[in-house]
Amino acid sequence: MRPFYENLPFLSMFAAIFCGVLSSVIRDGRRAYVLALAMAAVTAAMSAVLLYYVCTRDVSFVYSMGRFAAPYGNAIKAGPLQALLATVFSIVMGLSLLGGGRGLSHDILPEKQGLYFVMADLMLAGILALIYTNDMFTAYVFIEITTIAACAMVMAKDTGPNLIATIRYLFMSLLGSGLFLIGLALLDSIGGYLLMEPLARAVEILAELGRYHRPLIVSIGLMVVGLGIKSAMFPFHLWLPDAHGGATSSSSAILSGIVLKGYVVLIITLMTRVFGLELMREVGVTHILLIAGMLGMIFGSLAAMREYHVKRMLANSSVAQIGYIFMGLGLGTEFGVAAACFHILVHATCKPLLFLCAGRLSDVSGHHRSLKNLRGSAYRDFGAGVGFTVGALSMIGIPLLGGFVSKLYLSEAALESPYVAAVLLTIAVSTVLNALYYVPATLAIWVRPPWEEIREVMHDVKPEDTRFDRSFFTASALFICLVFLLGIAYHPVMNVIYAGIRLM
Amino acid sequence: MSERGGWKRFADWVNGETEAGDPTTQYVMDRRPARIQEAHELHEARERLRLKKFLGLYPLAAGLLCVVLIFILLSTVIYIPPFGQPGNPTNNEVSQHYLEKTVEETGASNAVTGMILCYRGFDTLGESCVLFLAVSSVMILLQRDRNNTGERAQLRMKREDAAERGHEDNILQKSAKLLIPFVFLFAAYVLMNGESSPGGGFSGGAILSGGLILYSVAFGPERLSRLLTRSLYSGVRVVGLMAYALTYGVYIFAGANGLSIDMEWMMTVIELAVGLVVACAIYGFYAMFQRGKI
Amino acid sequence: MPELVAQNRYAVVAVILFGIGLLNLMLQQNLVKKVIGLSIMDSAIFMLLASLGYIEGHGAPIVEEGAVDASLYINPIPSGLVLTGIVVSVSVTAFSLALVQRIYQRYGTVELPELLERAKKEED
Repeated sequence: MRPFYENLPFLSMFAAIFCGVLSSVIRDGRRAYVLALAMAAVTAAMSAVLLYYVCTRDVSFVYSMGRFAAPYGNAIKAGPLQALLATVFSIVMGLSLLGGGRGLSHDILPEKQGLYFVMADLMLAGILALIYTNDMFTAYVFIEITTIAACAMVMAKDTGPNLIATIRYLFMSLLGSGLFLIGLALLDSIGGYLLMEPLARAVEILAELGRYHRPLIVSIGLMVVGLGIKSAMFPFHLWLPDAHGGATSSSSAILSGIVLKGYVVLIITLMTRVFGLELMREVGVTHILLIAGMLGMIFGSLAAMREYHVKRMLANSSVAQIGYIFMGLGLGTEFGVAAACFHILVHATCKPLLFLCAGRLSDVSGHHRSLKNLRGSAYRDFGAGVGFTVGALSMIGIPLLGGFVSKLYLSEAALESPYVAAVLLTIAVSTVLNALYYVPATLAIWVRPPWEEIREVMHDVKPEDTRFDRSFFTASALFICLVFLLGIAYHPVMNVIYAGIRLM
Repeated sequence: MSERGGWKRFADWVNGETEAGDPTTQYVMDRRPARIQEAHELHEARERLRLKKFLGLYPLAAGLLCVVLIFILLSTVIYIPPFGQPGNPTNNEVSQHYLEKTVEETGASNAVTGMILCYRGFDTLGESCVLFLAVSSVMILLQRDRNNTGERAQLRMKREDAAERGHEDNILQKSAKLLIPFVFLFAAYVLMNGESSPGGGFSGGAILSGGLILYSVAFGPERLSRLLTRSLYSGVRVVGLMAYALTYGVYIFAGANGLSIDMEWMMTVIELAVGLVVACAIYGFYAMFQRGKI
Repeated sequence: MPELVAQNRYAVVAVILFGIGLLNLMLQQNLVKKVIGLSIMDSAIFMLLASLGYIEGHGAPIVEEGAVDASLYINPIPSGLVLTGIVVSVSVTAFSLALVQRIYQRYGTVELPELLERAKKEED
């Protein structure tokens, strides 16, 4: 008989699946919304309890999904890192839905809202499974679940440009999963196992003997590139701005906060648990990640500077932030991976905050999206203005906020690598570039334009749009707290991450 | 632009002097990057140019990348273990275990069924969820609503329905009447015999939905939707997946915690549930694409 | 070299098919053809996967009574994976076709350049 807390990962995944299935028969969108919020709260609570137990006992455990022990049956594995990520992602999911609630009921037809929450719930189930999975093929199946749900969340707004963005996103994602699957097939042909631990042993033996060297390298490369396409690694990021920029606020927040990270978490699992960092360094995959990450940091920011549409600007900035994460992984050391994990948490809290606030600011300004028309909008909803400012400052990397700490850790991790100069320089350049578009955007929302312009912008604003939105305010306040928490109490979080990587 | 000093302007701005038409505000806004000041036409022209460039360059780059990828793959797969040899790494103790213990441990003599429903059932649950999700997202897209159905489309549909009702196809209807019971019978046979022969939930469900689609084609979707109403359809769909998830959840919980619950009936329930999920999914695709409603 | 190719003939054919699908997916301008390319690509991967499990001279993995010996049957794992993969592939194909249909309803074309142009024009 195992201790009860070990059941929590399995229970949280199944709770999400049940809620998703149930949502499809709920006619009333409002109820499905409440159910989704409750589900996110429950999974967050379960993951937090799990986090408490695995941290205090300093263990990670394999949970066999069924009667049959590994390597015969499915299994999941949970440790401190998995529990931490699951907790944060569930919280972000819940807060994103909470904050964008009014936008959801505005953007989506009432009879289809239930189906939207089917997508949201099953997407959380997919992400949780990607975090906990200990089996390669389970990972593939849940990648596909996440892909379909994410695409459906993009197109839920149902306008023409949305549909085009969705189909581009879908094609790129499916290309990514195709590459992942063919890499998996190659790896299976030479390794012979699907469960991660036996596969890792087989890979280790193969690498030592030098047998099947080429298939091994190619399969590692294909898997990493396939997942990279799905998480907008630099040369494959072109689908992202349209998809994230055009969706409804909640969807943008969830997609940029959670979905992109789910695939990165899988890459981290593969790197640390299956292939091992040493092998990754040896075959040069880390160099590809490092270069792609650094290029992404620069070009994502450059693309964001050119944008005048606020949500597309934020979406392009996601490319840059994903670049930071890949750069951390590309350092190929445990410190680098830990810093990347911390940046995942930081970005998962900042970007949804920014998207929600941007969505709210444009709601109170007659649904205008361009920065020009958002001038002075912070005075129309003070909470959104403060939230946007905090998020932007954190993205730039101001001390006391999460973004500063992750940049600090990334730089520290870079000190051990042979590419110190290049990495530090890229971080510096990218920080300056971040400031170059976040500072003007922040100034823009806080500076009042002349009255005539305000009148022009506001002439068709409905009164219910400018009414105080309590749920948005709560979500935004909680997000701000999270950003500050990560920026001030980073030490315990980092300890959990180190323990998690050690116990991977 | 203004005769006041930079510091003064900054101080004014910090002090919040942002009255309408105030030169300080003007200054800040004028210094904003070009993107918000840029003339609309200029931006448009540039965007169009970018699009053109993108459409010209993109196929070249993509094609090159694909060809490189294919060559890498070709030069890789010739080095993987040779085809059809018993000593390959894939044929290890796991597959041996599946083949030799499946009758004893799962009660299914079809090792593939035993594997996907028992040993690796979590994957199969995920796969059923994929089908469920796909139907739901097709519903979001194609179910008739005010976004995707104009008045013209509705008129056209009405005309088509009327035309269909006027021309009943006698041959089709008679042969369908003859065939449909056998199709359903065969579906039930495949569904129930997945444990010991080729088949199982997926194939059985697909055949079942084939029967439904045949009925719908022969007798008109309206007659079918009187039998299989929308609420019945979504009920069956949800009950199928719920039954699967619940059964499998109990099984996982019991198995992982070492509780001994008699799970002999599990395979049958799961086969049935999978069959229902698949049948509903494929019929749902058909109905959504054809009419936009169940 | 020829022996190597002959040894892994199924895998080589699968990769060629994969390439055809991939090129169609990336280079076709017609959305429906892109979806077809995607299906070809998926089928090619399933072919590669299925070929991994085959063992020459062994039978289908349906265990007969009294013949419980692993050396009589082929490897069941890849077959199971292919079964799962096919269902996933069906789902995504249906989803993308539905998306294409909606795009056609909305813009009246499935050719990518025209589509982008019309979308651009509408935005203005």
